[in-house]
Amino acid sequence: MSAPPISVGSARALVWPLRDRPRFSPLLAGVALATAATANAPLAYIVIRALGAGPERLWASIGTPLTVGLLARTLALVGGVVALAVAIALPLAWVVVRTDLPARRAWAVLGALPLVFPSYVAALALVATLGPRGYVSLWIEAWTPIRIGGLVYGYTGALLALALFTYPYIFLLLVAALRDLDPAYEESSRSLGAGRWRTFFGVVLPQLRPALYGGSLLVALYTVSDFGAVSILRFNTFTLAIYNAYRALFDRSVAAALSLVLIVLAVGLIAGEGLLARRLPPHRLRASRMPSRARLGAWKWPVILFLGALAVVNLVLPLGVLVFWGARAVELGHPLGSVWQPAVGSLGVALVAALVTVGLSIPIVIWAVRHPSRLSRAVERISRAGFALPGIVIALALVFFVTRYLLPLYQTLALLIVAYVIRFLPEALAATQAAVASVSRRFEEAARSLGQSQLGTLRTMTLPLVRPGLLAGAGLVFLTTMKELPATLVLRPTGFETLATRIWSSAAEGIYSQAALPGLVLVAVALPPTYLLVIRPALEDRDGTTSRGGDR
Amino acid sequence: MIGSPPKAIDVAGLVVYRGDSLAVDGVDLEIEPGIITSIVGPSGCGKTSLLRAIAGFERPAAGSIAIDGESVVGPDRWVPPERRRVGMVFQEGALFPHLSVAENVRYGIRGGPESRVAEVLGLVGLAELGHRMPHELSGGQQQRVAVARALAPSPRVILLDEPFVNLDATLRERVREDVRQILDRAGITTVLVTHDQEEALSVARRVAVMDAGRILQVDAPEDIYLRPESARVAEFIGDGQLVPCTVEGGTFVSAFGTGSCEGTDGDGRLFLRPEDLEQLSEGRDGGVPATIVGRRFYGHDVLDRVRLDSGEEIEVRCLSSTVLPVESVVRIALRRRLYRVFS
Amino acid sequence: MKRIEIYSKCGLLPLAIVGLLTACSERPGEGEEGMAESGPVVVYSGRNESLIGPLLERFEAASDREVQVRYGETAELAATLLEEGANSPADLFISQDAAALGAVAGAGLLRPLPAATLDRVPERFRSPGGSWVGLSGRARSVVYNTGLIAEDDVPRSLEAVTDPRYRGRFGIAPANGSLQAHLAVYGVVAGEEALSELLAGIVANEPATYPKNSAIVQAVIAGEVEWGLVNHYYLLRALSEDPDAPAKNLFMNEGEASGFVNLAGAGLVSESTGGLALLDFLLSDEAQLYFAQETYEYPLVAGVEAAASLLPLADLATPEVDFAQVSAALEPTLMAINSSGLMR
Repeated sequence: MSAPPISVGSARALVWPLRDRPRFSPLLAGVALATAATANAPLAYIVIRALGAGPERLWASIGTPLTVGLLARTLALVGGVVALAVAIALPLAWVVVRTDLPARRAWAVLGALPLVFPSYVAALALVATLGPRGYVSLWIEAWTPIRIGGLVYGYTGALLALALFTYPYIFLLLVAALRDLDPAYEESSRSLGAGRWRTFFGVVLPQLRPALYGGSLLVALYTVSDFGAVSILRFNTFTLAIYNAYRALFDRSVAAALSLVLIVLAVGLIAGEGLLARRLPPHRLRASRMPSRARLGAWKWPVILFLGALAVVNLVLPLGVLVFWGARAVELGHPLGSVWQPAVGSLGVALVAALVTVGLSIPIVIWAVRHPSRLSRAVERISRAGFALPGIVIALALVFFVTRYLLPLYQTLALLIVAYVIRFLPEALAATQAAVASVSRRFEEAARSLGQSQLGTLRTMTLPLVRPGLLAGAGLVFLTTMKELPATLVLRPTGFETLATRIWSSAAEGIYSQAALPGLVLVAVALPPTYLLVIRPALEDRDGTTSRGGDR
Repeated sequence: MIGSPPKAIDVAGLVVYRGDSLAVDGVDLEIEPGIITSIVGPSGCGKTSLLRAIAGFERPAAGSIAIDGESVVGPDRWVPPERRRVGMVFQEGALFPHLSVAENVRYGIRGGPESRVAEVLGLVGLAELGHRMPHELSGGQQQRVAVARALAPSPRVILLDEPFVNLDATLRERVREDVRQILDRAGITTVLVTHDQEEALSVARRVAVMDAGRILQVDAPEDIYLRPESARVAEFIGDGQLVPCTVEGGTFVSAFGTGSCEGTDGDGRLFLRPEDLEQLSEGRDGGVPATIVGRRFYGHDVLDRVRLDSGEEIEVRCLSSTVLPVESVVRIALRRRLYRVFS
Repeated sequence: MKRIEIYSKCGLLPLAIVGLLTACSERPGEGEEGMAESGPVVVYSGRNESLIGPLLERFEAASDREVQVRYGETAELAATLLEEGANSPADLFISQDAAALGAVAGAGLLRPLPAATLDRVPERFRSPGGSWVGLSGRARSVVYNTGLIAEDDVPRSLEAVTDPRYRGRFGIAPANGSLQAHLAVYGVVAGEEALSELLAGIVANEPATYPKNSAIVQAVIAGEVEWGLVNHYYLLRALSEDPDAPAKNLFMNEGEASGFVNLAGAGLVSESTGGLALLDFLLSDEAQLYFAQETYEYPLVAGVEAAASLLPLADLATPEVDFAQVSAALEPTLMAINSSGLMR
């Protein structure tokens, strides 16, 4: 191919003659198309399978009051979790960004750290402390006539476990939004006679809506697809019902039919957020200066108390429970269980999943951003199907599909990785998209005009600029893969264990002490990449490229 | 001004820190009621901090502020911004993006008469745009709405913080003039902070020049320009340069000529603006020979850089219709007026 | 052309890495067609790892053959076998209950067993058609916390479970194969309508639902619930670790089909010799002794004594039903459980 025309003048350099405009590699387009197709295979198969059972059977499976009850319970949980998560995240974000709270950054990091705990570990910690024989319950019951032991099971427990450990998704988005909000809005409001409260609710809060909606959607989808916490805390939601139907029924079209409802629910949540977000006016002002910080004054100690209590509940408590279990097992001479093999298993699949997912996101994003066409953008959009597909649904779809048509793949690590890729591709796409879109094409063109080849441009310009975003995406995929439970349970090869499945099997048998070591190892392994690649950039980077903020 | 009615704003001994550095370093300033006063100074001189302290967004470390004779900042006194009845207009207007134009204006007059919204929107000439969202307005319209919003609650004073800085050059002048007329018509005490000396001089009836946290001079625009009290003010306002001279008995002698002046006898520095000099046309006597060595052409006039035989250079403003080619040798002379010589 | 190279490099590199990694890590458990004589024996086990894992290790050591186990619920694995059909990578299916074995055998997925294998156990404990064989006997029981409820208050029949006084105070594991088989037996004995009524009564009594029997025993010991429906040996195993645990077994003996002795069994899914060798090992005296002494189940092979602490098998009430009937009733029972809402 001839050298592209360069360096004649700025006009020539910016407007390429049509025939010489770089075309997107057909090979890479093929990879992108295949990825998009794979991401949508589960969806298609579930639909086929559910409909294939015949309308009568389908209706018999889902058209019952039980389904309505499930739906109501699931929605009640979603609503409660989102409300509680917002109630925690909003004041937390505000005090760490907009007040003179001492050690703001440290508090912000602490506030985001619960991300590393999987919901089933959170649930176990809750049972161990506030359950009927929990350490805290026993203590309370010894000193007071209050009986709290039963509360932890059912709605209350599931609500607490999920809200206390998912609010960081909202928190991180809110921190970025608050930091980017020009203080002039608040000051205008104050000078127009509005006090602090009216200013917050009338001016600040409305402008945090994109972050609130986006974060709430993440939390809602997490709740809808959560399996570990609701089963340990015995609150039956759709995901749990699907798992049970899969596990305990010969007729798997029931699970498929329920999956269909769950997908509709998830798509509904996404569409709802989209509708809300579309009605928002475009954001205009970016913060031109540091916000002035409100004085906490007499509120300083109550706020610190609140933050401290929160950290105790969602950091000290789960860690303490795991350590305590481990210590007690050692003391009683119980086996801790070997953690080596599941640790290697978790680390291996999480690394590969992160690498592959981010790798596959690159051609899709470069195609859509650098060579926009109706096709490339559609490919990018439908590749995000996993966003609406709970892990259990992806797993079942792959089982159905593969046992029928691709048996050699069945029960292989490759298939497990495929499930992770489908599930977490949206996370990688969001990060990669934000990273690539934030690199102005002009840099690449400048490099070309200075004599760099396309390879040289990619190596010296695009990749270095995009790398932080890719790393953030990889970090997020790594973390979520480490924590993933339902798809892993269903799809893992015979004899293959991860830390998540080890924790789960200990919990399922009620032998909690054996969950201690894998739990601690999981947290220890997930912590550094989560902090370095997800939390730190989100707290520092004005663009918040790790968030889903770049989605729209 | 002694014995006149209370000042609209009375700032005394004000000290404001910005982080660890002193932003406002003991400022005393009186703002006259009913007119526009501008505060001008280079970036980082503390003018914005001063304005924000008046509005209530900065807490001074020392000093006092009174508005319409009511103390809002003082020892043991702090009135929060929402109770100061001070309207503020920000750089980009800061219209609330989620509220329509009318709702923005109504924000500050909750419970007040609905007619007030139409009234102030009418005042800024945007009566028919109340239903629009802010992002549907041009930059100039946004700025006018911001003024209307600030006026709506009938504040005691209006503060403008670099309100035109983000408008492009042609628009800026028009919006500036619009806003000036609106505020004049409203007859409201206004303080405008700007780093643009042309803006400060053209919009305001009084100008305060600020530098390094201190107020250097407060005067009418023409006095600031023609009779700067210090070399620093002279240098900041308008073009010009300081040249060495010697004064004796009200007359100075410099390389560019002689003239009458204020200032003490002895060596001093004379401040010359380009329009203080002229190129003498053919046939006129006097002046000093000089060579044109550079030129900035503005259309209506021209700034020529000339060099004396002694090597000193200075800029001379001439009409564009009379210029000679660059490299020509001309004679330049000082116009006759009373000059300031700084020691 | 250069451009294509670049893009393919950055796009395909991760794919290559993945191929490499999965190739490396796939070795164990990968379906290399259990046919090969030296390949691993692939087992689908509805029995908990803790109930059979050590035995499999002994087999590995003794036979020098690798065993790959996929643990799951009996119904889950049975459904998986049905889904996989003839392509299943499994060699041996170990089931927690006879009914699920019958269902898989009914789909023609189990190979006929040689007489020598079948004859190890009495006729009552094997499939009439010779497609599966029992490994151990297990009795349904009520485990209760002696500190929270008096023995006289513990329900003695399935019908009594629906007594409102137990509301929210007991645990069951609805996804568990043993419970499902017990309910299927109830349906066979008392009729489908009675089963639906029973299920509705249980649901109305708001039981705490657990994923497994062992978790119920732990919950009873911990006092989370007063009693639960389990198999008898889970408690005995728990007591062997903690003799002071405040819990006891009670065997129901009133009402319809309230006592039930089920059996764990196995069937051969592939023709591999490894699967059969493992099955024969599980029927050996050594393995039967393990069931008797380590897991506290009833050994089925003549000459191996049950643990001394157990009631003799003959003393336990169990209805006169044949397992073929139960197998046939299993799927409708599962659908009935599903539509009862017990699992939702």
